[in-house]
Amino acid sequence: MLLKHIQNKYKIISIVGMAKNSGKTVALNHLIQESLDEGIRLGIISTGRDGESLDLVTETEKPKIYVEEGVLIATTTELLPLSDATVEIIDITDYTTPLGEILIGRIKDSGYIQISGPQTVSEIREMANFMVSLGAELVVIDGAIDRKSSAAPSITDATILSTGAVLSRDINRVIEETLHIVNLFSLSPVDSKDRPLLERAFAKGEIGIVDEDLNFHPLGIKTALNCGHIIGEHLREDSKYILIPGSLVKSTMEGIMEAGSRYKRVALVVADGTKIFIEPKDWLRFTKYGLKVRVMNPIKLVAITLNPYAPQGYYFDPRELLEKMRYYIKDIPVVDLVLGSE
Amino acid sequence: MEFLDQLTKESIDFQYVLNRLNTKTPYGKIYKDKMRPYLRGEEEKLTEELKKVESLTNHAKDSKFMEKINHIFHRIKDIRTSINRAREGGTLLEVELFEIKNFLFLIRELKELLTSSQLPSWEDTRIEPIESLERLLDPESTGISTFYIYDAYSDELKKIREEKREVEGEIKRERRALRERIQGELGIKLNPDGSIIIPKDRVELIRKMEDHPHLNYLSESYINVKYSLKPTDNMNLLERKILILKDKEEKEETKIRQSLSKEIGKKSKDLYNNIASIGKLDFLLAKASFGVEIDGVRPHVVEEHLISIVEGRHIKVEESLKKVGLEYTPISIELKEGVSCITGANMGGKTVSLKLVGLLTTMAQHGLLVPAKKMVLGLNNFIKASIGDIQSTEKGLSTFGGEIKLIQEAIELSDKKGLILIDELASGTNPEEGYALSKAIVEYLLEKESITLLTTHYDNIGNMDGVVHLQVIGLSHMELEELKKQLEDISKGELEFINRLMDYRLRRVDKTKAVPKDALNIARIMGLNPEIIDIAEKNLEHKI
Repeated sequence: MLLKHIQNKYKIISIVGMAKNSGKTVALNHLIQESLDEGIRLGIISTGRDGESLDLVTETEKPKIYVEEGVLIATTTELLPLSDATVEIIDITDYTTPLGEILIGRIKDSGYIQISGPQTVSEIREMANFMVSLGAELVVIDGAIDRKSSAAPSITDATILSTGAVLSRDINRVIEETLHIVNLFSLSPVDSKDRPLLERAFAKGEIGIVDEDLNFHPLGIKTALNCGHIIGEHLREDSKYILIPGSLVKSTMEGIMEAGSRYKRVALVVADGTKIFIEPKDWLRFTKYGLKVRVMNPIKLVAITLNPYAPQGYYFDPRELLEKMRYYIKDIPVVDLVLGSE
Repeated sequence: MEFLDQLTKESIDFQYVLNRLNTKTPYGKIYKDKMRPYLRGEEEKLTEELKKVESLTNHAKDSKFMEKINHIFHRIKDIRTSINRAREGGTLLEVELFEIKNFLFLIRELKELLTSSQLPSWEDTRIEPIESLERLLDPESTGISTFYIYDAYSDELKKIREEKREVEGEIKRERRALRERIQGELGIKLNPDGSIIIPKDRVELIRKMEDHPHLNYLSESYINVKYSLKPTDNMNLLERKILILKDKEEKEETKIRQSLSKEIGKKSKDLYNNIASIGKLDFLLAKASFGVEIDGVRPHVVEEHLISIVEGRHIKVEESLKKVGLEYTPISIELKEGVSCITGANMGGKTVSLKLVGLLTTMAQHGLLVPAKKMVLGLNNFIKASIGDIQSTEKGLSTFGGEIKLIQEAIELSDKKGLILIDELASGTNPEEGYALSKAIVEYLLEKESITLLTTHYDNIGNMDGVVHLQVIGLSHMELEELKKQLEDISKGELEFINRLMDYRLRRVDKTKAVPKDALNIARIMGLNPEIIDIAEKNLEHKI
């Protein structure tokens, strides 16, 4: 149900969850199973758990997955001895995690294995590419649960989003929040002709303004937090972009708007949709006032998976949730892996 | 006795040199960290080391070769802990066995590269692949450096794994058959994990499922019921069998790891020899590459205690001048035991010349090529410098106090054949006493077996008997009128101006030569109020 949206179109894909228990692991296992049935050579990378000590102590938190012969995995030197599967070690990388160095292995004999992987975007990309070079036809990146640290979508060819009842007891609220994320993930990229310059400016990690002639003016502030008015005051007639290399929050947007009306002519640029932390209501208000946001790295959302059950014990009628979600999201396939209906 | 104290090391910029010495392997770094100077009596050893470095410079210049060897060096990891554990009877983990196999493959690759590129080789840099261990960790002769506990290690392991695979296959087949049967019987489609959720309004179906011998009730909500596949008795039996087989497999794997570790332990000496060779080779190549970068030459080491530098360059100063577009003037100097002093213009590079002597001597004695046309060196047992602002606020010493403390330390060492460098001797106090003190210190050091080089503004120090007097040529080659004319074009800044007109070279002068008076001209260039300079010139004439 998931594979058909990906197969032969994308090589490296990520799965991200709207929240814990939104069904990400179900989606991952489903995709693994489908790939195995189809005989696709698979690579699996699980991103680090943002270094939270809780996860280090309770090792049960690590996803344990069943892998078959031939699958490529990234795990760590300390997790390897805990696995059931026989693993051929291909390479031990220089990247270290609290659970040892990250290694790349190929399953020789199937079984359960604990996986944990790289922490940064560039490490994830490097390992995914390495797996492709080793013959993987599809590399699945199991993104972090917390969206803040999940930059994976911006470096993968495509992304699957898992959402579900866990978000709220109110079905409309679940739909609302999911729509918001889909909206943020679908933000359009900057003009390709402006991209090289913006990329260089982004690499500096500085907040700044780009004018019509593509000159970059850094503002000398390290974080956009509470600095919206400074940004707003620096806008000129010929300003074209506002570059925000970090996160974009409500107070920054408000500050920019309070400083005058020039913001209507410019576009805010963030790395990708996962960098925006603004509530749906506020977001819609800002959009109405004419604030435009563009991204450096667009995210290709290929499917949305639903989990109608919440671990707190409540649930929605799966068919109702599915139908409602499909009513609002028409251009991206929505599937309920639990219910199993197409 | 310490060869180089921390203060001296800082003041002559030796740390800068160390920072530019790039080893690539953890073992090369150990040699770099343990690097020590060659002292008197070790002339032959130093020459041997320097010749090794020199003989590697051709390869260091060959960027293709360096790229290849660095590609190998970068993959070399520190495996000493694992080797030690194996030697002491410990059982290595799979990850450790992989690292050792990787190392074995890398030394083979290195050996091939060294042979094909004809890199000079010595007893202590010899790389010897360990074939028996290679075979041990690559039992299926795959020729690739990946690793797992191969079936080939024991028939028992092979048997267990085959059986495990068979049983697993059997479970899968039975499961698939069961699944298809149920799907056919009930007209439903199970999820990949064997579960299914049925809406409660399908009463008839739910009744059938409840009665079905191979479906389990899992959970329900007000809307749905969840069922999952119930394994047959045979499947349960097979699952148990798998558990037993897994346990057996793990025990067998441990046994194999134990025996592999034992074999590795036996070869620990061979592994360590290669480790030492890699470390030395990496370190030598780092020295040679650095020598190439700074356009260095091999210093000639002699028995006699002297220092002779032809067109030497202080590389850090040279680099910072280059950054602002200025050129560095190489300095030549000859020193022997006793005292030599440098006098001359302010901003004439006296201090840099002092640092240059200290730095090049230190580099040479550490087995490095030196940035010069030529250098002849008799080894020193210590180098002591008093350069720059040495106020020690921690110890509550003023500039003068700090200087005196350092000079006393140098004096205590002065009969031990070393190099003493003193900048602006006793300048931090009143001229009368300062001069008296300077003269006394110089007289004392004249008789000692160390090479002393100092800079001073006191005219008469250079005129003392036995003191070699070196002078910065400075601005003295210019007439005042010409200087004033030149001053009209100072557009590129004062420093550029001074750098263009100043002759930083040193010349040996006899005792009758007066110390040049360039201070007022320098003040003029730097833009001091002309009125003040006029008054100062008048003061000079009237000897006030």
